[in-house]
Amino acid sequence: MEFEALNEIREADLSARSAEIVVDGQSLLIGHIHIHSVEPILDVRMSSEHGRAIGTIELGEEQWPVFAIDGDLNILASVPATRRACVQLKSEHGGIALLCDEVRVINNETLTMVPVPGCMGGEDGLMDSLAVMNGKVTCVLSAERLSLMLRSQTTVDAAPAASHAAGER
Amino acid sequence: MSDSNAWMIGLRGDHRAAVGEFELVHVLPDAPALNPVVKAPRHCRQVFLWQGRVLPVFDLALWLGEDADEGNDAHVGVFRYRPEPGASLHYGSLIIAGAPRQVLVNDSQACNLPEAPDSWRTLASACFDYGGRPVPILNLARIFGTLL
Repeated sequence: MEFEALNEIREADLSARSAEIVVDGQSLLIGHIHIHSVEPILDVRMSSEHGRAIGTIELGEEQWPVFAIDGDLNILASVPATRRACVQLKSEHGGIALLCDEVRVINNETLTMVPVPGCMGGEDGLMDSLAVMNGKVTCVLSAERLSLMLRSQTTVDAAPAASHAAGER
Repeated sequence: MSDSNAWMIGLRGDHRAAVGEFELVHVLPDAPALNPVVKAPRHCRQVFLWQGRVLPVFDLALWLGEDADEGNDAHVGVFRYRPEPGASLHYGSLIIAGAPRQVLVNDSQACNLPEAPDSWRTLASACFDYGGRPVPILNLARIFGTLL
């Protein structure tokens, strides 16, 4: 996995690239400008003190909550064996981290963005658009909305497994 | 009274519906490569690429309350519509059962929507009688353009 390459992209190139995060075979894109860094999963400190987060990762003085999600953005209570990387996302709502199976850098020039069809929702704002990439269609996530949604699940009140962070339809 | 051509389509659960002559564009001979869309509703969770367009796959039968089993006779039909008069054409796809059938329809066949399921009122803009059974005419702009 290209951790170093992912972490060393020049500031000027950030807005021209996306991070492709693969979870359970589902490919998700997030603007690279929202990626703080990518670390190995070994750096995650497992803990049950942060609601539905599976643990935290240290970032200087801060501890960012780490989430295990499935391919439909549902929060998982345990970490599937295929998760290898921890992607740290920064947003105005604060930092969070996601565990994923793979992560790659994508040049936005290779993507064709299309709007989410009206019949497929988008009211929760989690998806910015769809993108055509190498003959496949993938989802472009809003890092801000995703961070907001996940951070709301870090309180003790959010801990019961019965709650659904992203809302089942 | 002039006749108009319409396409009558079958859906799982022995439902029938119709669209205008020029609204059905193509029936795919093979199942397309589907791509899941996160957090999309259960009846419309996937998209595929068709002639450079990204088309949602809407399972009307599932939305009407039928089970999710598509069976062996399921096809994907590509449909087009205008969200409003004068707007550019938009495209979407529906899971259909069997081959569409072209029928002639005139105003004398207008009838009420099927009483059940009640959700036909959301999907259809009108209805006609064909062989003693009501056949709802689909409102494609509503089906593909809104979150039902």
